[in-house]
Amino acid sequence: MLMTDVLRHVWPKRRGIEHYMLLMGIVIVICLTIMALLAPIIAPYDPIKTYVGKPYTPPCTEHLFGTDRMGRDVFSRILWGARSALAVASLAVVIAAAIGIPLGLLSGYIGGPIDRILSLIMDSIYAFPSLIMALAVAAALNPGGATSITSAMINTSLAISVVYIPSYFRVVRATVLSVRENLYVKAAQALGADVLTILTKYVAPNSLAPAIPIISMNFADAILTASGLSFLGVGLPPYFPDWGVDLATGWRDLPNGAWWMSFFPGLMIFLATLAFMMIGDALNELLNPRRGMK
Amino acid sequence: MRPLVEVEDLKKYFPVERSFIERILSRKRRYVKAVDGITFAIRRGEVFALAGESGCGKTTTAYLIVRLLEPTSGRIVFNGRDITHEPERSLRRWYRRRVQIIFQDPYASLNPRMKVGEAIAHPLEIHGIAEGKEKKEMVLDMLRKVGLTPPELFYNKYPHELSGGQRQRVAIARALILRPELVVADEPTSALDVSIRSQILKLLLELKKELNLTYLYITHDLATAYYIADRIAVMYLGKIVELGSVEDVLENPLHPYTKALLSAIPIPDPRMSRTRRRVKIPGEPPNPINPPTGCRFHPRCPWATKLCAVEEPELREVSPGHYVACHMLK
Amino acid sequence: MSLLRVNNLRVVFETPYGQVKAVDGVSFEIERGEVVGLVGESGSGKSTLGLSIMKLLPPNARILSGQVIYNGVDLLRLKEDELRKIRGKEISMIFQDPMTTLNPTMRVGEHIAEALMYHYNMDKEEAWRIAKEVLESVGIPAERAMDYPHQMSGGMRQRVMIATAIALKPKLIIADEPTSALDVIVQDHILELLKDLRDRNKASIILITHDLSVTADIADRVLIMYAGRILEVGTVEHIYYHPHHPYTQGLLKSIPKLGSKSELYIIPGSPPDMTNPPSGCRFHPRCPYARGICMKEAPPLVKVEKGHLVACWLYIER
Repeated sequence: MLMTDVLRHVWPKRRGIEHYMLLMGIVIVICLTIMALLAPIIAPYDPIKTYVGKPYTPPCTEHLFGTDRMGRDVFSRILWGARSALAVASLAVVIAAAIGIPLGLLSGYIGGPIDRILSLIMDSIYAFPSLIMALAVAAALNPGGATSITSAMINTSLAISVVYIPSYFRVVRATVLSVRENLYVKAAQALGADVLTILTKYVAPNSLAPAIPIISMNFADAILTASGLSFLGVGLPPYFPDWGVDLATGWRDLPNGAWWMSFFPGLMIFLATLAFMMIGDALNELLNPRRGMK
Repeated sequence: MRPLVEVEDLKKYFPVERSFIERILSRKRRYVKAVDGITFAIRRGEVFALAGESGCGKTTTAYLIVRLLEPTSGRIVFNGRDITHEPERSLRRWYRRRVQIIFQDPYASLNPRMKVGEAIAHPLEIHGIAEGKEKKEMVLDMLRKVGLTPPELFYNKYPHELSGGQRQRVAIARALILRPELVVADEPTSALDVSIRSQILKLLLELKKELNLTYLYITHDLATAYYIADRIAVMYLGKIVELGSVEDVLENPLHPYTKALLSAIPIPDPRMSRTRRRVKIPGEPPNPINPPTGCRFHPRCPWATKLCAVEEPELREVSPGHYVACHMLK
Repeated sequence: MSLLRVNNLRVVFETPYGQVKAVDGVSFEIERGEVVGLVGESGSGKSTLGLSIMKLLPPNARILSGQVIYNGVDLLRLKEDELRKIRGKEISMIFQDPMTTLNPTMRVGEHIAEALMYHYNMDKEEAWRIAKEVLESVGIPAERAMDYPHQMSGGMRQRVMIATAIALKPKLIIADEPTSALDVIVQDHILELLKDLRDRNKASIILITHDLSVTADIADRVLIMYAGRILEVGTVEHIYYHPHHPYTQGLLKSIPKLGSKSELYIIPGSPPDMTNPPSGCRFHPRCPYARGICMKEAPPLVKVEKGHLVACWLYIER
């Protein structure tokens, strides 16, 4: 399929609600990315530095989103927080896809005992409550806290990715099961192509489309899970600018009437999740082959 | 001269999936006897048609000969060499270059993500026959041969940009670029529009002449078989019931099943179609898991006797080159 | 008065690639007890035409104009609940794959009995009795009325559809490729049953097919469709023995016939891409007689004999 055809299909002349969901999601994601990239330039204060303002200052012109209990600027922390949120989520999704998709391809195409064992493992991971699973993996990877921010981020991503591997595995495997029955796969075999060629040139390109919506939905979920892990103390360290961490710490000051400390991080998590969900849902709808794509 | 392909007592049984409970009760595995002991030979340079209704085993036979399936028993000899159980690795070295298949549905037999040029060039890459400019030249030449002109235009198209007939031409080009000796064509026209079928039939005949090909032509359409084939075997429930030249078998059918099949075909001529004499047979082919005893056709046969229910008839030569499996023809 | 009259029907599909004129100004009529063959290739609009008579079109289709007059009533103007009373009882549809119309969780006998109870207010016992009766009349043993559709072969399921039609006694049956998925022997049985249905109930049949042999066997009149338009209409005698349109002539000469090895005629090219159909006469890019006017203007259907109409500039004097 040509890229232009995909475009024409995803963005035709006659549009439905899915098309606008997709557009909105993409716009939000682009804004978030710009925020993350330009954080060092646009952030008015150092996000980690304490007492840049009076603690518990409500939103005002000097501190757009107010300050927290240690006098750090919430607006600056939100901007920097976009970095860790996007980095952790993308890393988690990439790792999960990089492991889940090839395993799904192999398992579906080869079948037999390998398929059964892999499916069993994947199903048991899938059956486990996801946050608890991630919590367990994160705790195992971060015994007594990570040594650096980078390793904390990588460990958090790894912990989250474990939970997502089965969803890629399952959806790709299921597609391969039908794709491999296609005549063009038989034709390739009759031409003398070996298994690797058949997998990479004939099976994989026709089996990956259903994984695309999952990527964006996982993205949304990963931001939430990462926040949850930080909230529970096994993710990023508390001083680090991260929406989840800030939500967790700011939440404790809610009874004091300092709503802005938890409201803005919460809003950002909500917006980012919503954006990826919209993209995922829209793609799921638009890439559905039953939607009259010839 | 030795035939190009010799098939001897070829069988293919597919195991029937047992349910969980059946497995626990360790019920015996049952089999679909898709092909159950067929013998025939394909002569070099001829068009041999394998005809029959759906489920008769004709497509399974095609897949066995191309070795997309491994036979349960029997022998397939290609050019004097037994390939019945030859492993895939060894088949890839020589057999897959010399035997090719064209499938029924050109909408399913082309990889939707591969451009026409890539699809036709791929066999050359697999077998390391040509590279770069030479490869492209060969592909363009093949496109010209199958009537996709100008070839440069089609080279960069995707299958979904082509019509059914054009796709089938691409599939033919892909199969023939390796210059095979035997081409198995599995109902190559039945998924196409009526006005396209004659184009493809004519193309197949022209290419056969030009490239010295031998065809195994699988079809359910006896009129097409008559047009394209030299000899024909009619199959019923995994067995060959009649074999011979198309003139013998289709103009002077001897087996009651062939007669019934022929007389059931409507003719594109109202007067002839409405006045044709029917050999009527009841029902539909029975389940190939539990085929009837004796002659498999006997429950539907208008001539059946007691013997037919007990003893299976052999395929016997009734006139030179005309073989029939029926007890009533002695 | 004819049983059904279609007047200048135009149906379009909205697709991501633009508007497709699936049926482009088609008119015809069918008499009581008559079998009309609607012959065409993919994209000819024959199935769309069949579906629009019953207003069973998919959601992306729109009827732009036209009338479908059945017994003096325009079906296209009826409301859904009024149509429901006509579907099945007055006009029945038989599809290529009966699995699409048979409910997989209902026994086959139930399908017929339910329909009888709905349309004729029969009690359950009576409805089941008739259901078994009609199943037997199409060659399905009464005890198999308790089978589910998936337990039957494609041929048997098609018999169930015909049995339903026999029970409900519709005046018109629209059969869309009823035998295309079947083997020839079963096809022969089904065609016999359709002829029987016509004779027994005096039903009219619109037989939609790509196969000119099937219509030769059963039809009284044949309509040749191409790219949404009718190219030729006539009795089977006209169409098969005196075809006028170059497309009809070409089709007939391109079908292999038993007993003949003489070279087949070849219609060049492919059926048109309906998102971008040719101008003028839609067949002109494939026509050996195409002239200047054929590219500019679509020819009207004109009478060449009584009951024989052709849309081709060859037969129009200018």
